[in-house]
Amino acid sequence: MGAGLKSLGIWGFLGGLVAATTIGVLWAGPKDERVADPSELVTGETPAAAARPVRMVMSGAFVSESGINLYESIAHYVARKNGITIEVTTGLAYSTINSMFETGAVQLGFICGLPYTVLRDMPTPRVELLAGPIMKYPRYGGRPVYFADLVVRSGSSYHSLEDLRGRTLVYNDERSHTGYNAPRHHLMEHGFASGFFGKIVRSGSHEESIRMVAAGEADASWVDSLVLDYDREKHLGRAGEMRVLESIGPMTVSPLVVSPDLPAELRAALRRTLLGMHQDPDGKRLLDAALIERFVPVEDAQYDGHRSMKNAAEEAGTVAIR
Amino acid sequence: MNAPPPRAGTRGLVRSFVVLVAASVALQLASLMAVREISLRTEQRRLLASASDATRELLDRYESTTYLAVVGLSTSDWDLLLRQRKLAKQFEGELAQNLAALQLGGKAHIGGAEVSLLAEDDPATKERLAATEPLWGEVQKSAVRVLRSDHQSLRNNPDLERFQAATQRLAEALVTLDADISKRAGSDLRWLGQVQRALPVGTVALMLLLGAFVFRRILLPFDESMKDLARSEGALRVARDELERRVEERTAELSAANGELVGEREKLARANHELEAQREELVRANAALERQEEALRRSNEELERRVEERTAELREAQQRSLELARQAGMTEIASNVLHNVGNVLNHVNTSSAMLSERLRALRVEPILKAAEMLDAQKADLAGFFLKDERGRRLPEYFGKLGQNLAAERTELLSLVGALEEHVTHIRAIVDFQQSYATVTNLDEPVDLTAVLEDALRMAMASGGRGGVVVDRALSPLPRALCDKHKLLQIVLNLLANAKWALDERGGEGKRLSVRLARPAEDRVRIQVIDNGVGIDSALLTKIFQHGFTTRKGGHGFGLHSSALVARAMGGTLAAESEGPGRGAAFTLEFPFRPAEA
Repeated sequence: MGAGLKSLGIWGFLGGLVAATTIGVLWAGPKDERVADPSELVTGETPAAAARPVRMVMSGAFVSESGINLYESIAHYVARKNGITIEVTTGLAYSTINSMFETGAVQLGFICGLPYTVLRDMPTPRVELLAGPIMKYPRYGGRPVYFADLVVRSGSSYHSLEDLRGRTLVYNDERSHTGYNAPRHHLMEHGFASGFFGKIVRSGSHEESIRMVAAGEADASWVDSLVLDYDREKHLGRAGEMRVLESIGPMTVSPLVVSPDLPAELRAALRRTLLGMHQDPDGKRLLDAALIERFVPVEDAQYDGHRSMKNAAEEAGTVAIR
Repeated sequence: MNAPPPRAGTRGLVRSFVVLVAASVALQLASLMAVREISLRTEQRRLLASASDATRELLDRYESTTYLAVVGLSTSDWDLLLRQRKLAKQFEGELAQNLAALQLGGKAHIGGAEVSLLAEDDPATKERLAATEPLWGEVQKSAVRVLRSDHQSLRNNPDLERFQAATQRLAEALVTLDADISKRAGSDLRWLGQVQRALPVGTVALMLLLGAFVFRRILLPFDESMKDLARSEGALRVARDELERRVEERTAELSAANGELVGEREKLARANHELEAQREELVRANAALERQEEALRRSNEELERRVEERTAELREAQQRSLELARQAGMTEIASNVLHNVGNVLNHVNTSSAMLSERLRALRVEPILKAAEMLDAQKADLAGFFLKDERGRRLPEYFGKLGQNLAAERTELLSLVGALEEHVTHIRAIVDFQQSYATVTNLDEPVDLTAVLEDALRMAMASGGRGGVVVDRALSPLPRALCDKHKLLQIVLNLLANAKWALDERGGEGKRLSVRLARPAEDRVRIQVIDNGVGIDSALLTKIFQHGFTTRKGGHGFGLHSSALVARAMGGTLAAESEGPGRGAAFTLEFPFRPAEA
């Protein structure tokens, strides 16, 4: 080293120092890390060359807003398989969704069974059934059914429907079967139609109802078993704080519906895709994530129960839960 | 200046220089790291500020699109609703991502681009960011609610008002956050300025330090070294001159020494030459030596050969000596044989004298006369026999002559028969002796009884007047080691003497007794006893002397030699007699050595 330093000389050393400083300044200098991501720059509508996208609505009957992305993935899988584009809209009220189907603003929807019967029973039916899911949990018994679960806070002192007399009930939507139609019928059957709860509040969605019960803003709520199971399984929201007092059902599960405005071939193709999804590795992976075993055909008659419950309430003049 | 030893000085200089360089590098690195850190922090602040701005902007857009969606909802303008809902959803996603990135680090949307944010480490800022979380949750919740509300009017819609209020609170929180971030960016910038100002100072200080180092540790020592060098050069010049002088001297010395060496070398060459000559001489001498050695070797071989020859000769001589010795032994035997044969030859002599006498007296002359008569009458033999008287008596005469001759012949034949008998007798004696003559001077396992029987057979075979009763008292003994020939010689002599004494006595009742006994463990006793003429007591001491004999025709040899032989066997021979006419007893004793030890 001594020989090296001697041969380098003091000027060589100083020169090296300057060079090192320059390199260091260049290396440590500020850099603009805002690198545009081309894929993210394209926003808004789908490319003009593509056909007009199929609009799909996702009601809160299947899954909470937190799990909505999974159903969007299922929708995109179906679109990819059929060479179409599907735009998914969420967060709308059941009545809004029905209005949209009535006017043809949307063509596909994961909707509640009761709104389906309304749309189906119009003089010109605005929807037809595509398929219904069979959920994986044992209580569904390998059939396309679901339940209306009466939930209370885990630590609450309520142990039966009776205990809830005079308490606050929160429901999601008047057009919800599990949240409103079935419970209303259930109350009627128990002779509580003339007035049972102290207070009735509307939340707009099952997960909001769960949140309100968990937060003490309400004492109980009938919620869709699909929503409750999914949020519990994925630890979403406050579903884990719920205790199920009782369940109404099994009842035919909420369906996937299609507008008759879409070409018949496309409708048939969409149905085939859904019914064969569990046999395709990609489709199977999506179904597993959504806790769905597979999609199966459902018939309109399977929703007669929904209709009869609604009719019975209307005939009895019990329109609203009290 | 006291200059340290050169090597130690260099090492110290290098060490100082290395330390200084290391310090310089460390200072520079520290400066660079500081600048880089400040730069990063400033950049992060700038990005945070941008992200905060962008997030507020996103919130504005989210609020606007959600409001427009509600407008669509209230006017049943589903296209408007869906379009705005979709945009609102997009802004919602970006907003959520930005808030998470502000708080925990990660990708954030700024304008149309994505940038990476570091996790916030300022506690105050983190706290403010954490406070935005519930506010954002409230915004989302109220947004869902307003769209799912059964109130769809734009006026007096409590859900819409709740949404707008939540949005407002979050916007205010973001404004506060912006201010915080800007403030912290300012303080970082001030720190950067201070560091930037401090850096040149540090650099100048370093340069001064380096200059001082170079001046003090390099230039000054260098100057001193140059002076030392000049001084050293002067000294070196003087030393060189001195050296040259000494070299010249030394060269001269060496030249002289070289001359001597050349002389020495020539001497050495001569000496070497001589040595070479000596060596050749030595070689020659060596060759001569080798020749001598060869001759010596041959001589040696010759000597060995002669020694072998001589040895063979000696061996032959020994053989001859042995043979002579054996012959000497045989001479003794022959003496005995002659002694015995002599006795028989007396009879032969007698017989041959009688035969000679008879032959001389044989009447052959009448036959010669008759033959002459016949020869004279051969002209007329018939007439002679018929006419002449002598002729007529001649057959009768021949008849009587024939009878006489026949009688003579019978007598002669009788004499010749006796003679043949004696000769046969002698042959038998010789044959017996020959069976022992081959064994000489050697002790061997001997059956004493058998030897005595053989001796008796030989002694009795020599004949005699007969009428002797032989009495044997032979104890059975084990085979003994002894010289069989010597024993036989003694016993034969004793038996011959006994026979003679018995013959001399004459008359009846001649008795010869032979006894064999072992009086002690290591002694053998053989006795020959007769009742012959006996020995006068005065003669008992003389009979063993050489040449003394009482026998007519004796040589005084037998007992003498027997006594000598007995002594040679380690034994004794003794004679006893009660006087003339009272018989005699001869006793031989010798050591008993059993053959089977």
